[in-house]
Amino acid sequence: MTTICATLYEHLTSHPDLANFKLEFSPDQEGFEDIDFFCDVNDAKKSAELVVFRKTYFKVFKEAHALFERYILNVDKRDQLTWDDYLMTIGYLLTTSENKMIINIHEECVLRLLLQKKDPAQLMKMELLVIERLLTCTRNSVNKSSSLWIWYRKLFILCRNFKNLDKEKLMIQLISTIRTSACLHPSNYYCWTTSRWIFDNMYDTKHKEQLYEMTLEFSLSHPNDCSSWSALCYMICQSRLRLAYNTQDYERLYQRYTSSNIGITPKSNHTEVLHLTIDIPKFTDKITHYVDTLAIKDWPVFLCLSKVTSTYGGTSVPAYLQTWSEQISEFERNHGSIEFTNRNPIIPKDRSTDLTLSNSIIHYGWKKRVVESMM
Amino acid sequence: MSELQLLKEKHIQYIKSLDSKTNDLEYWLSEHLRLNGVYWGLTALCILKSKDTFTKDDVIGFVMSCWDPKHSGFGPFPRHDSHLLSTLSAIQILATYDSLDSLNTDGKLEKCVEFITGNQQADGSFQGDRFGEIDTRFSYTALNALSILGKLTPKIVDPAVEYILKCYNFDGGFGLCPGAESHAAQAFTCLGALKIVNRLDALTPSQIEETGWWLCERQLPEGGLNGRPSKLPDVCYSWWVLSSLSIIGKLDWINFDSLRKFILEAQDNVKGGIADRPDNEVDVYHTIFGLAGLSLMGFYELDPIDPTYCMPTSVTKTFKQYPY
Repeated sequence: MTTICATLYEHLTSHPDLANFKLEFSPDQEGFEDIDFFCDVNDAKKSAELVVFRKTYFKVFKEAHALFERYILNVDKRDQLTWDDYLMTIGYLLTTSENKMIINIHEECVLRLLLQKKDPAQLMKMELLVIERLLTCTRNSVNKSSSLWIWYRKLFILCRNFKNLDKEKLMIQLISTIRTSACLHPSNYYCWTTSRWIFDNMYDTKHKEQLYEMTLEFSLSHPNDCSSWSALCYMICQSRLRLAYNTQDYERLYQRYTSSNIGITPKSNHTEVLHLTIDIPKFTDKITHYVDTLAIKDWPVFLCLSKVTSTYGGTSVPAYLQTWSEQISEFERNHGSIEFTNRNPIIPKDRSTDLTLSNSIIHYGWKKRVVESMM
Repeated sequence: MSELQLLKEKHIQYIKSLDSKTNDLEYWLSEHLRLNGVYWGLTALCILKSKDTFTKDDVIGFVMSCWDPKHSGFGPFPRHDSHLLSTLSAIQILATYDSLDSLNTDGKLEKCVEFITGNQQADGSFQGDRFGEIDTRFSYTALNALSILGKLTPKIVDPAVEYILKCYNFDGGFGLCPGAESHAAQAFTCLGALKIVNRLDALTPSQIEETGWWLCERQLPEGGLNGRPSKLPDVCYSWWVLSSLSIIGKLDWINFDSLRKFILEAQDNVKGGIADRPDNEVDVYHTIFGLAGLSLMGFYELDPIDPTYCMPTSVTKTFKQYPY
């Protein structure tokens, strides 16, 4: 019988209609000794914060671990998964989300429950809520968990089969989950890898565009986020490159689900892969303007621009390269040649105390690297 | 610099102490990584020429207790389901102790090979287990394990190589799957996998050159290495990046002295062990990779480490070289 794992689940599935729910972790606090979870709901802002204290975290793990010990000892009864087993996995997903055996048990529990429940769509809704709230929690080990992000892709596949689920809301929530997780964890590798996967497997152009726009907006506000810029570059170049890996991966995962394990015949993916029409010259102008205006000194931006130019470029040299070449020449006339170590621009020691100049050296250094590689 | 020293004895004591903390909840929080942790600890002790700190029979006994009779292969802890990651760690530990014959009972060797090869997908990639997560980490893990067991075949290798080549990126790096962002850990797993099967020549000289540049760009002014552009340095990249450079013959593209300083500053001077970066909490994962990086660079008369397998060269020189 679970107690704290059950309470955790109740909290994670509470206030399902709130747009902003933040799962946070906190050291033990004076005055909260008798409280396991602190939940603060702000109806006006449509937001909630669920705080898990350090002692609570250990309590959850201890209970989940005890249940796990019981589970693995009952070898003969391993196929008889119960609701307590599901709650055990929830406790583990909070505390040690990379336990590979647990994520398998979790999937098996969900599939079994889908067959048992009178309203499987409601179960899917709650499961999505739990996983999204874990992926957007403040604990890095959870919000970057490769197992959780793969499970989220599988939920994307499964959700297509339930008519009672609001697909529009699902898509909004999905894009929001990616964004929130990315905000909490800079350069979140598995989050943005999943964004590419979702992008390639989106049901319709409208949501594909929304995901792209979110990625663009996020990247512009986070110039040093190498993962978001890499994902943005991928989305833009897909219209030309048409890499099929992610759509094939969807088919591979989808084939795991049959009417015998989810109760209904699952839908395959769309037969025709959708591609966005992106105005590449406009995009290039936008990014070069962004680079010039803000004196960007983060390589991920330049790498994205290089790749897009290389993918779509024709035989003529893009105008921005010529402009940058002139800017670099002028800068070096005034401040000396920009030097590199391992292709990274170097700030000379005698300039290191001048922050403005140091930043400019990096900014023009990256420009020089792009120009020299492409002209 | 003269005041920074490698605290060998402290690291040995730190690693030795790891298995004694069974009353700590933190010990159980890492249960799902236990077999990997034993491999990390044992390899670190080998580098420090202190292999006998662990009791061989105890370790082998623990490894064999992690055998998964239902799925074959090894789990990370007794009665846990098997996974490619823990299966490789088991095989590496047994090989380090020259005890691969422990797999000769009850057909475990054949079953183990079947578990590993059974995780290969139609496109040549590998999943870690039945959950279905695909990652070039698992390609490396599978090929490494099969290599140690002397069980590589063209049927496994050729599609695996084809898949890995698709993971090479525009910037010279490698991703976890085709089209994924370049990451230093993936560079290691892809290059390591190609090296294991003697197919580095599947990359063109130009690609290898670009990969070399991508890798050496990871060194930051303070000397530490990061895993991707604009990220903070982390001691574990002392391994992922250095070993990759070593595999492609460009180890000298990194400044050794500044990296050494970064690693040494991440030591815990009181209890031993190495952290991801200075002033952070130590763990056995960063301890092994910090030591492995120092060994690769040739410092402190450490036992030589094989950059492809992350095992002592005294062990890996006994492996059958593919193609057989």
